[in-house]
Amino acid sequence: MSAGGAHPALGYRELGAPGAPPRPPLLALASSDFDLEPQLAGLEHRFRVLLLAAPRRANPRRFGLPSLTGDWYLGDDEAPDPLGFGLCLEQLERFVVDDAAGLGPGARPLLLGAGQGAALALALACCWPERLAGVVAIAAALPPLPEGMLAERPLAGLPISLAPASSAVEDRARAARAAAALRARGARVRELEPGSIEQALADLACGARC
Amino acid sequence: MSDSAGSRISRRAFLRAAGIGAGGAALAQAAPLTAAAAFGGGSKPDAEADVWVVGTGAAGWAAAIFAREAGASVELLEKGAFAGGTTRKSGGVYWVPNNPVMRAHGMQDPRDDALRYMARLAYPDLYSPEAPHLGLDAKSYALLETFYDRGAPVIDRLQQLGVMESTFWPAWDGRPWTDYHADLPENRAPRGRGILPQRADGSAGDGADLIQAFRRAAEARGIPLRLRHAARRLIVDDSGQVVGLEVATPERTLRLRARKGVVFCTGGFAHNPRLVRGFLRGVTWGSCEVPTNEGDFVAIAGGVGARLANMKSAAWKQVVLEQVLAFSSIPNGVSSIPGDSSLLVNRDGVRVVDEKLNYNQRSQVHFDWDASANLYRNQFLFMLYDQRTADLFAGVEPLPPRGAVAPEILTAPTLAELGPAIDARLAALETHIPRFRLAPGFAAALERTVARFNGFARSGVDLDFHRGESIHEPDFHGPRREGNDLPNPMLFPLAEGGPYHAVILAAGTYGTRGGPEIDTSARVISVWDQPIPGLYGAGNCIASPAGGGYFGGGSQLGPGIVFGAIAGEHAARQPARPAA
Repeated sequence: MSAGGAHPALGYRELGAPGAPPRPPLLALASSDFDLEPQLAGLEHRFRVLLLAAPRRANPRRFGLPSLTGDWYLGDDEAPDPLGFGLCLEQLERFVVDDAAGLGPGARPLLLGAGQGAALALALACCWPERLAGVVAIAAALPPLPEGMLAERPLAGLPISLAPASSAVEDRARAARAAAALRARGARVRELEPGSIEQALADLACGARC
Repeated sequence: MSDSAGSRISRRAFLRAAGIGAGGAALAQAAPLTAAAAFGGGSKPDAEADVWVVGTGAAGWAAAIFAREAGASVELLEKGAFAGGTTRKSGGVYWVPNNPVMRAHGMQDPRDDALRYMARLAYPDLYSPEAPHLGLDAKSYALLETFYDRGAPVIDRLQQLGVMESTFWPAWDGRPWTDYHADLPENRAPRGRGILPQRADGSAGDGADLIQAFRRAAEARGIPLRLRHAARRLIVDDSGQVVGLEVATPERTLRLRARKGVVFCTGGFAHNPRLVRGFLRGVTWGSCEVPTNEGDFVAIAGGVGARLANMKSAAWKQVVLEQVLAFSSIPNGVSSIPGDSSLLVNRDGVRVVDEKLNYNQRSQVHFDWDASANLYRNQFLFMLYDQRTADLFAGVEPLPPRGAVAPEILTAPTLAELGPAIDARLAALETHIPRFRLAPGFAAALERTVARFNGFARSGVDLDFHRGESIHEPDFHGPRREGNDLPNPMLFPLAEGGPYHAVILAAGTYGTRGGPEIDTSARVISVWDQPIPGLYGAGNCIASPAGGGYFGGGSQLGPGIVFGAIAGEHAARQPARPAA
């Protein structure tokens, strides 16, 4: 199924040697505050790991940032720029549903996101639960999406792991809000301790579905 | 592009949530409302303040803070869902002549020379060094004088008020960044006019830091901020004084009374296709401006007789065509053409510009019109590079980080195969762009172009475009790269073997610079050549005091902050108008 006419513009880097042997796909979405690359080291033996490039990966005054971290959209966690968020979500939809990276027909990748990348991963899960194997979201807020934007698709037991950014009350509260909203949609949510990214990744690495 | 078959993402819903389209409504409703209709007959205003400031880019915050410091009650209105406007995603540089950071470092920036430098760039068609006002009309010249005279004190005051410290914009070698026309004889202060907010750790900040500093200062002064409040039209009394404005929120329409004035700092019109196509002097594809920049002030001020000027001008930036097609407010422009062995060619396979020029100059080559052929030959240009440049300059926009795959990068094993790859991509994009193909002789011409370019690389002298000779170019290029021991660090022969890469570039903007004219007090001027009482403007929503000139990095934020401050202060010092 094609996700429509939005022009594909998401870049990515594959960690480890591309190609064989076949492994389940893992798409990682970092953000300017969370560079996931160090935590991903070693996972390429278990997964086909693609690190997606945040569209705004460099401050315009800086040159030659080596990593793929950066901003996906503008605005605050509680008030993101809706259009920027929506356009990135559209790109992510194209990437997964139109199989931009050749994951294979009908592939159901795991999404691992942090910060803005996690918010996008959760939003995509709400749109296309049947095309994902699960989501691990670190420091995520479930952004206030436009009314009627997302089709009311039951998440039907989709495994989602959520880790707050820190043990601060507001961070935990935000993760708890996201967890409640996702449970209400039928997701199988697991709440992780802050800093337990390693735990989430270990779960992924051993193939556990949360 | 959106809401198409198979997609579950509704772009329309996001557009609505972003408040996009209110500009269209404003165009239809720009005729002002009378004070009697708005506030008379028992209709009370929904809110009152001495000064309302519309827009939350740098100019808006400066206006609000200076108005508050001058004793006025102030409120800020923002059309979008978040505060900060395009400033927030910018590099955050503000270009201010003779600024306090320069002075602290003992750098001289004499007034007479600075004015000549600015006048020559702002109005190259008028500049005459011996003529009165340097050949400019008296009002335009007075705006440049005001910018020089008031600029440094405004930056000083921001520091004294504890809003922010400023620091030099550092180049890669640690020196202050160079003005983009440092070679002109009028430029006696080629470094240091571009400055940045300084972070607590002493490092140079960016546009997000600038907004954060302003926002904290405004909060400390009790200046309220209302998000999702889009200005629709002005409210004027019988004498023509602006006494308020009508704004639309997602829920309702509000009528706000201004006892002293209304300051507009609502950004450019890059996301209003009618204004872009109708006024900008070149064909552009996309903008870095935030999507709410729909030129609302053009219609709103037009409704009370404001005189428009400088509508052809913008801050120009090359953009990656395929990013423009994906993101309405493009994430990055192409600040520099990275690489020593990279070159830009047009559809004929020939170079057309010094690739190392700053973005604002370089981008304008897209506008060249071939009168004989009736053709914008450079409407799209092609950046070509080899694997050496891909590796050594990886991550410098538009080159992807090392090892990354980017859909907009075309790759071919030989130079001869790159042309067909470009043509195929142009054909694939034809649902979004006009028909544009490489000329039939592209391959042969490219071979000659590369041979000539490689000769320049070996000799160190670019006889065609003098690449690497302008003083500012090393700042963008960065240090000499490994393996290049040739005379000119910005030139290296294109590799004899592939792979070769290409990316399609187009002209874009990162700030349009036209709108209502202002005077030296930042009051909006009418078509009858009089200030419109109570109406002020600053930043990209007005006709830039810098005209068409781009003096150096920060030539939008510099005048924006300075005239924003002037506007806020002047408005605050007006007598409060009694309620009707």
